Amino acid sequence: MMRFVFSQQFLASSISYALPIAFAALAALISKKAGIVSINIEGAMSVSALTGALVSSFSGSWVLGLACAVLAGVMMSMLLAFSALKLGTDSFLSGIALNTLASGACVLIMYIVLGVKGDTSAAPSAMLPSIRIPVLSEIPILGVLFEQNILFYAALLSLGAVTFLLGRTKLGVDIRATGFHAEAAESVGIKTGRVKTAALVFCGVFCGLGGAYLSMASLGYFSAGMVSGRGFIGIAAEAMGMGIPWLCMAFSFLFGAVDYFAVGSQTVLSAPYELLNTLPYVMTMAALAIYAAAAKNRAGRQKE
Amino acid sequence: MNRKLMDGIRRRRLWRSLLRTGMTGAAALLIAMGILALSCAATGYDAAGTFRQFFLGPVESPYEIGEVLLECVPLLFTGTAVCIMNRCGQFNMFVEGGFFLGAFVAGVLAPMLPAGMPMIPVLCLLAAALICGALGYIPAKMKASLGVDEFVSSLMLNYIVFWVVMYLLHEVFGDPDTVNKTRYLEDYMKLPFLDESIRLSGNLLIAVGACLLGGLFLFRTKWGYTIRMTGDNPRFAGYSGLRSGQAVVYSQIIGAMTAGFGGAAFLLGSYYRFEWTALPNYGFDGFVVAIIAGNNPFYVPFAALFLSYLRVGALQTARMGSVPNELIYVIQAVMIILFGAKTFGDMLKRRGGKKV
Repeated sequence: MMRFVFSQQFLASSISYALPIAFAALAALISKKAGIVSINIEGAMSVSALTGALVSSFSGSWVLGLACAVLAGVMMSMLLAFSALKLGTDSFLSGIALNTLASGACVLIMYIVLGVKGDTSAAPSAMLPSIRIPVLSEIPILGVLFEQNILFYAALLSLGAVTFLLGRTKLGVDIRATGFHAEAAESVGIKTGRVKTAALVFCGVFCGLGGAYLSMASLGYFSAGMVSGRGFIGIAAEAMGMGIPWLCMAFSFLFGAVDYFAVGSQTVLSAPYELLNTLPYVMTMAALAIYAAAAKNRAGRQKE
Repeated sequence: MNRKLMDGIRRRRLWRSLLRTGMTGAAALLIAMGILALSCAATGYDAAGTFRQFFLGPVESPYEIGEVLLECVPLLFTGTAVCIMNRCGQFNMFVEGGFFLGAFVAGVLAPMLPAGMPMIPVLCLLAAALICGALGYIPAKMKASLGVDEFVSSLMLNYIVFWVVMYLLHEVFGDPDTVNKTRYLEDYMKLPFLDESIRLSGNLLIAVGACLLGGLFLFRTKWGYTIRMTGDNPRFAGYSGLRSGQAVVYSQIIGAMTAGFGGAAFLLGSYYRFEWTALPNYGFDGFVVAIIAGNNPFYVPFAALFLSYLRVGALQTARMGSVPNELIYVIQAVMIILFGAKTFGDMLKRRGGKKV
């Protein structure tokens, strides 16, 4: 048991499970900062995963696949922007609608392109490559951190980029102002509609990267329902991270580790797999409650 | 103000909202037809045949009409449940898990009760409602006391419920004679059929009753009033002395109970065993119904009928080997957005205005 948790393989697999959650958390973070609840992350990741799988498979190029996956993510985000900002549908409802749309559209598109409804394993994706950093990857156990998939480094870069964007740029300040109080931001001349749309573009990019990772790195094809709540867990990780980018990322990795533990420990532990599968969700709920209780406690103490 | 004038205003308002609903429905249908035509063009199926099947298939014969009514039953329950929670401003997804769990509880409990006992189906319905209500208390309380977003926590609860039910079904309560199903439901355990040849079960009447009760609850009771005021503006409700924190909790518990009750009624009425292997998505469909009905349980039957008609149409075209059934999700998504849009009606008006 202990040997299982402290193995190199556990670390490597946890990272692999955590990456989609991490991207989802970043997507949730940037849209929440702009004051939009974007629960469509789940659906956007699914559409991106399908796009990435199909494009990379037909073009044979992972670069093109990744680019199109990102585009698809941005497109889904723009649909949310259109629905929530232009039509005025509640952003929650829009998100529910877009998730429904994604689950239907993915199957439809798969059926139209390949004639199947389950997965695209008949047309395997071109895989995203891994990068091995010499010398550093020789370190025992921790060495796996330096021979990761290209999107692992992209995630770290994104983390840096988001931190920089929010903290040091005009757009970042505008985004935070809009999310903090849209009317006040409007009154000092910030075009909140545009700022929200810009934030949603970033949100879409992260959804695209997360989706591409699912269908072009962790699996070699797209299968219907493969996102299976990771987008929502990402939202939970964001909530736990209290809007601090690196903390959100850290919680994503924790969720990823639990997620992998549920799958990986099935061979080690004799517990029924159905109950182990509840672990990530139980942990998310418990963590949300503990976090909220702690936040409330803090707020209460400040008042005194 | 004089009564006649009030009635007049009320009537005009009703007409206007009906007109708006009709126009939005027509727009949604047009978009559905567009999507259908596109998919036909993309897959190369005969468009005329597909259209005919989609729109006329569901009303072709009594059997198909029975199928529409069968599809309608879960939507009536989940639609009502979502209405009650939406009116309080709570986006709780446990309707999905509650419906699933309710069906499972009924499927397990009914064969366990001694055969001579009276009212077995009723007991099962109540047990399912109670268990789901108890679970629905978790996200509700987390929201009211700690401010945990009910959307995320109820979704997580759905996944937990799903896997625990799977465990219980596989390892504990499964019928030893078959694989991964509960025991067979004898006639005395079931809700009676109205017409078995078209699978029309008594649960349809219960479902319509649930809509009416839900409507009466929301619009004719003190609790319902508190729920609606809390949904409109929680602070104002609080300042006027209404207990909005409590409304947040009991709206979600009642929603979850309705969902569980509905799941049990659906299983005991229309099935012989519990053998679902995935969450059935009825909870999310409930959102579509509630939005079309304007979050008013009294209108839920019409919305549910409209949606189940479209769903059976999609199923029929899929069975014909044409466009896959999942098309319906795309149509549902468009409907949520259009019906939920605040400015959609205004946009139509503005367009019309420009022409003049």
